[in-house]
Amino acid sequence: MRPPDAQTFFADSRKTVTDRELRAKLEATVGRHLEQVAIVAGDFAGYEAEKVAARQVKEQAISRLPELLEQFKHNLEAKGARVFFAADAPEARNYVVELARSKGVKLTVKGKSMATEEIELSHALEQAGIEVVETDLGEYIVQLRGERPSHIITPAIHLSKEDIGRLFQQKLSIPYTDVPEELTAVARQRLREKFLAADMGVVGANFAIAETGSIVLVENEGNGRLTTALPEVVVVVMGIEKVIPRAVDLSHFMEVLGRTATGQKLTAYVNFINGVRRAGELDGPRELHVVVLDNGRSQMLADPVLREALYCLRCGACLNVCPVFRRIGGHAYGTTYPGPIGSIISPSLVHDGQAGHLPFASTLCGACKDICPVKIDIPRILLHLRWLATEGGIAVKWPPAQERVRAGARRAAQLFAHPALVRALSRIASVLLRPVARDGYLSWLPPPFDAWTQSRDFPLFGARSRTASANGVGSSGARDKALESATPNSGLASRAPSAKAAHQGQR
Amino acid sequence: MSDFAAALSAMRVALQQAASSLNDHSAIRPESAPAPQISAPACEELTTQFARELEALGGKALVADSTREAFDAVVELARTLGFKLVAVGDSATINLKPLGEALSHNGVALLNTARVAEDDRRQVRARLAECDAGIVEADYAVASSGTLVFVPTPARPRSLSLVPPTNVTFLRVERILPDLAALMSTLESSVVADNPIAFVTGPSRTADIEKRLVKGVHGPKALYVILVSSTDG
Repeated sequence: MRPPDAQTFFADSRKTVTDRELRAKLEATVGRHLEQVAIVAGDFAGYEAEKVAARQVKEQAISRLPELLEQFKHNLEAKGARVFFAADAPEARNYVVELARSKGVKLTVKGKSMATEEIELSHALEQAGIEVVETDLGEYIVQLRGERPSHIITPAIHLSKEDIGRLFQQKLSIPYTDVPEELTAVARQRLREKFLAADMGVVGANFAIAETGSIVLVENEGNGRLTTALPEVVVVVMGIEKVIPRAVDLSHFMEVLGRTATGQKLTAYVNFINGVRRAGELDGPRELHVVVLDNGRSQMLADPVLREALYCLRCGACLNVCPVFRRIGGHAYGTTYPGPIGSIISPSLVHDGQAGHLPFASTLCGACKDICPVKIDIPRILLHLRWLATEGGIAVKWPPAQERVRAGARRAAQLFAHPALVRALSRIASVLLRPVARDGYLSWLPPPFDAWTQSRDFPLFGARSRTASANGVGSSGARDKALESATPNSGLASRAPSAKAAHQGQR
Repeated sequence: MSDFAAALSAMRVALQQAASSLNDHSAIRPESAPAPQISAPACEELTTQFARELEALGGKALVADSTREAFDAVVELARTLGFKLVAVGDSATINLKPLGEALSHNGVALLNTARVAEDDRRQVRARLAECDAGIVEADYAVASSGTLVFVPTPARPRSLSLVPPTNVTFLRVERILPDLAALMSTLESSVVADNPIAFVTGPSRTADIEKRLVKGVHGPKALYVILVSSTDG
């Protein structure tokens, strides 16, 4: 995996933002998703009330987290399972690898799980000589390509059916086809053999019920249910934030999760995993191990603003509405969790502040907050993290050009403490610079501000009427160059009128 | 484990830290979330709604006025779809023995998956993978989403509705609940705690290739639900 630092992010996102092929694939897929979401959400009168209820359960659960985790562990272990607490990714990985080794596991089947991606479990198992097969179709596809998923819900969102057809032709030695039904049938057949032969199954968890000691796994393909029913050893990897108090709380999540994640009323399977196989039972594991993963989450718990990010259900909808994700794609983020949710949790989950720049990779348009099934105020958290990064709470290694601009901005902030002076200077500047400005914007600034104008134009103060600044809602009031050059008329940013549009409206 | 205890107390400290901040808004919330108001439509309405939702998902609803009619429907399915081997378990409320006899009579072999001895597990599971269909009774259903609820036990293992490519499910219409909230309050917490419950909504599906819907991935490709509206045994 490439380092998720700022330098690499700038380089990678600069490449992907002008990749028209990637843009077309993302737009087509995301468009279909949002259409389906709009239909199922619009059909359901109780949607808003269920979102509120789901959020309230999460608020309560997170505020009682230690107590609920203790209760969950107690109740699940009473049913013959083992619950292991892992403080970080290496602890979680080592536990699963050691377990697999001690059981003589040769083949592991995996259900779709972001937590196992986060701890890079597959890689660790493979290093130990164990074959790992992803069984979710999207995950299987990216695994065949040797890639990481580029989306929380739709791992292969960056690929077209033709890409997948060529991949299967090459890796599975089948005649080329780009018919999704045929490709799916091939995967079913290949993976069925793996399910029947696997010694170990690894899945994630959507919910963990404290009251009953149950894991709840939500999925569509049936692979999660097969992964937890057939192998002798089953491992669940879940973040500490997955626990909810009671079974009755589940209905609220089930009413909202499928609707936002995939545009379904309910996903095809909701599976309850409850301890080990009973006497006379045909299926179910002989051993069940649950790894409860912290990995930076309790650090988020201590921050009253950041804590809200722990309510996340990993539905992935915020990615699909995000103008940044839709332009740079998931891989450019360089983290396990891309998009808006990734930008608020990665700084805590990725150590050494390597992801501290991600909260800045946002237009703050607020579409993520609007679609969130538990109403997480993502823009507020983004601003909070920006503040932390600026005030030194999170160390960010900026590339030299960005560091210069940020130093310049700090000096400018001192200047802006004197409004009269600023007015006088900007009047002078607007007169002097008017000949080189276009539509009231400067497309080039001298160092140390050159990095700023690489990706945006600089608004010329005083060249516009004073009311103009009130229009730059949710944006810096600057024009996004990549947006203009690579998206002619996509209508993408319809929620947040681009600064350019706002600007033109004033003339 | 001591590590776990240490981690929990660290979380407690973290929470206190957050609670002492003025920004904290979580402590003032009510104890439980309010349940959305629902009206309870009549059984007939629920049956119609369930069938409509199921068929919208690509499942097929068949209606039977007695278990006898329901069994006839299964035999007819077996004939038209060419079943050679089907898996059954012990049903919750319906005695499946006459169905087994009828299927055998029509040349369909049966695999019994109820209460399998440890020594036979391997063999039964291998056979199950060859079955054309699994026949099972649902414990509940949800009308609003077209969902079947299975509470598997050693007498009717979860693989029955999972491994064979076609699933045939009997559903007594009085077991249809209006929505998920009604379902979660009907399921007792001891039932939730002890059984590998599955909520099954339509045939297995994926949209992982360009977000285009494909039915039949790892779970069943075809789902037939026989709505049984009598109380006979």
